[in-house]
Amino acid sequence: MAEYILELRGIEKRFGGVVALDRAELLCPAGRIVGLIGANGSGKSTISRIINSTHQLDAGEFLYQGKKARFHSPMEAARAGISMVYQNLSLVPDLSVWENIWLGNEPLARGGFLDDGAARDRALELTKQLCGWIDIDREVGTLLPAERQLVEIVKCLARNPKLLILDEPTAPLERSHVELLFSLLKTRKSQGDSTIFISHRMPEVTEICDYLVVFRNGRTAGTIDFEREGKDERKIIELMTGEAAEVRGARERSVSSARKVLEVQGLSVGPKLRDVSLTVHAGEIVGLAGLHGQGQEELMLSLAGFTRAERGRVLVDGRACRLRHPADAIRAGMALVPGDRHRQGLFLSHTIYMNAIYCRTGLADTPWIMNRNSLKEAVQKLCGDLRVKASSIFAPVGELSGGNQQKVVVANWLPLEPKVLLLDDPAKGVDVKAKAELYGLVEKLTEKGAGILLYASDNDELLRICDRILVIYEGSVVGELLNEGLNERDIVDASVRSARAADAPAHERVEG
Amino acid sequence: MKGARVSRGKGRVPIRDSALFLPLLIFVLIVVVNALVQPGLFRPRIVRSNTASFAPLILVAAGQAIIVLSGSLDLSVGAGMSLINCVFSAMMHESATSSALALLVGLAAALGMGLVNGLAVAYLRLPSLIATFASSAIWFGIALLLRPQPGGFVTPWVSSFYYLSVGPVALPLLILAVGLLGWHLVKRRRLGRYIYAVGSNEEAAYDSGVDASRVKLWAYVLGWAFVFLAAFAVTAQMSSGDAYMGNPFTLNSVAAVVVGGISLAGGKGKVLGAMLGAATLSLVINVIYYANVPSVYQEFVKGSIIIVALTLTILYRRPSRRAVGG
Repeated sequence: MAEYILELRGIEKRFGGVVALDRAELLCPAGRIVGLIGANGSGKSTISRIINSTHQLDAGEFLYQGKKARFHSPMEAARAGISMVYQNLSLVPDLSVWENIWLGNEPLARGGFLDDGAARDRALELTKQLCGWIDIDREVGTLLPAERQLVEIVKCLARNPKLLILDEPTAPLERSHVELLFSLLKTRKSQGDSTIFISHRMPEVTEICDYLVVFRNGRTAGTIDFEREGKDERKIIELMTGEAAEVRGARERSVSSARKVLEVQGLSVGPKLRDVSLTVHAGEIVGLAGLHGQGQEELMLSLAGFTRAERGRVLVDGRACRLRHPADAIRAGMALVPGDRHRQGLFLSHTIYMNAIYCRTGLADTPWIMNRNSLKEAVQKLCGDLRVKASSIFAPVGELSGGNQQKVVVANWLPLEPKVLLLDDPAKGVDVKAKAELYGLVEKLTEKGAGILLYASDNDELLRICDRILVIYEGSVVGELLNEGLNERDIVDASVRSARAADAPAHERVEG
Repeated sequence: MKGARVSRGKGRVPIRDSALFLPLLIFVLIVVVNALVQPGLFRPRIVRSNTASFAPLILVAAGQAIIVLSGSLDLSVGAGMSLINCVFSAMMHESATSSALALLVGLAAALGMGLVNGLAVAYLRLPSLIATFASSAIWFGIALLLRPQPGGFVTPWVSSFYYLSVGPVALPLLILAVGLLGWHLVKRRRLGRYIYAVGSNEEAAYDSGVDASRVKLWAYVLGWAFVFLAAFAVTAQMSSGDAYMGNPFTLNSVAAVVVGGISLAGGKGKVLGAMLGAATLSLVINVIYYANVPSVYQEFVKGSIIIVALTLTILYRRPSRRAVGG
């Protein structure tokens, strides 16, 4: 067996005028878990798409299992044992979970007919390891983002690949699922299979990987062999940014005023939300925590006017509003940064500039004729502030890297100066630096008197930025924690405790 | 909440959630209305003659459905039917060999047209709407070349064969059943699954290792096998050749597909639904005729009924989408 399962040297790749990879190098020792890390747009996704041949390289050397290889399509790469969990997922919305798991790789019975019985049984077995609660007969289009992510992972594992590439697999996942995934990766390692793990979450990378490759601006900035050199976060950040690391502490809290910008009273939506009441004061950041899929996202969608509430009142800045349509929420001064940016947040084929303009058209005081030049300047400045990496503001959003797309989603809403900003996992798939920039902007909003309701799948984010954290369980607020000296354990404890308490007949409030 | 997590068991969907529920409901509704205005609708003779005259649209709708499911569209099926019909009328003489040869050439022409459209859409990556609109002009031109004026000779056996009955089962019904059975065999293979996958999300299918272009090409070829059957049925009914004959079938087949509950975006719906949709559209015309609607209003009434059917289909689908997609 070769020392390296994969050797990429001098890889170049261009998209139009944008250089995505410039003499990049990636060596993967066989039988290990290789971390690939880098800022947004540093070329991580591009090189992984070159490995599984959804993209073809422009120049460079590609060795697989010690031999020169050239695959022309993902099918050929799959046949050679390379499988990939895509950042945007490769699931077909109208097919069921089990059909998706076997897509492109269906078990066959005699005569070339599909062996659906076996496929379904095997899928049931496979999902059990990672996401046993998902009904495998459901259409993938009806699943939550985290559930889709898990299905995508199961789908790749089902192929038993020699080399598995995971592009941001943990972004929408909560901790307990990440741990399950990691134990599966360790099993793979013990079997001698290789894995490339791409993530923005530094603790995850240092936890699971034993070799690290850092990308910066389409080049390999350095490698760290964790087994020999140890795990030094500062060194990793230095390699990523090219600057000395600056680890950011919890935020300085501004004193929030007594003015309530958002008041929710007894909100109920279908089976997912039951009698939710909460308050957000001006200048306050309130976090939503709890196990995944307990109604946090439904709460966001309902407040943003996407789904109608059956009961309850919503007051924005003391004024009751009827939320029947997203435009109602926007006019009331409430904006949502949605969790699923591809489906809800962006017009992928339109330019950054156009995307920034659409939001403004929903306002009551939008003039009939907008000044193109001043808009252009505003968008340009915003992209500069957020450090969106793009050839220009007239680049289609679909061409940007995942993290940069997320920045554009947030950028769209900032100029409207909303009274209430609803953030549904805004930092999903965004690198450390961009995350700090993003939350810096959010904090600036609070200084101007806005209230923020934040849901994040990463508890660490909640702890860094929130003033108060509400614990949600089965569609109700079951606990409230003041963020003073809290740590991740406290949140997990409160979530799990509330789950246990709720299993008892009466719903008891858990005091933080 | 807890109950919702319990698996619904072996892949069974409640009947109301089935893609066929609404097309079937609309079909039954129109049958009832038709029976009211036309006593004797269920007499075997009437059923047989209705099946025979509806079969061409039902078949071409099935073909269109396969193409739409794969995420494309074909605006040349009508002109293609004309071309095949003109091939028949130009080649069929008294002798059995000429008839057999005409059938073979017609089939080859059908598959060839499917292949050309498929190559243009799947490999040249032309938008299917425009590519097939252009090719329809070509098919029509060739048909006109073969038969500038309506007429010509088609061996009588084609017609007598078509109106044959095997026991109580009329031959057109048998053709429909065989076509549907063929599609179900395809659906039991990878190709069938891939047609849905590519139609639902081509990029994801490609990323999963599905050769999306080949699947799209095959969808066209399969679809055109049904167009061939449709052309055969229509030739048997008319016993002559006419280059203009197929025109109305193009957009009627698209309407049938939509009334049949298939999403024009692809990936969702059932071929049987499109066949029911085609039967529904045909019955609408029946109803208008027997209800003695003055001829000036016929088109108006037909259009209105189709709009109502479409609205029902789309309204019915919306709520569930909304709850998830927002």
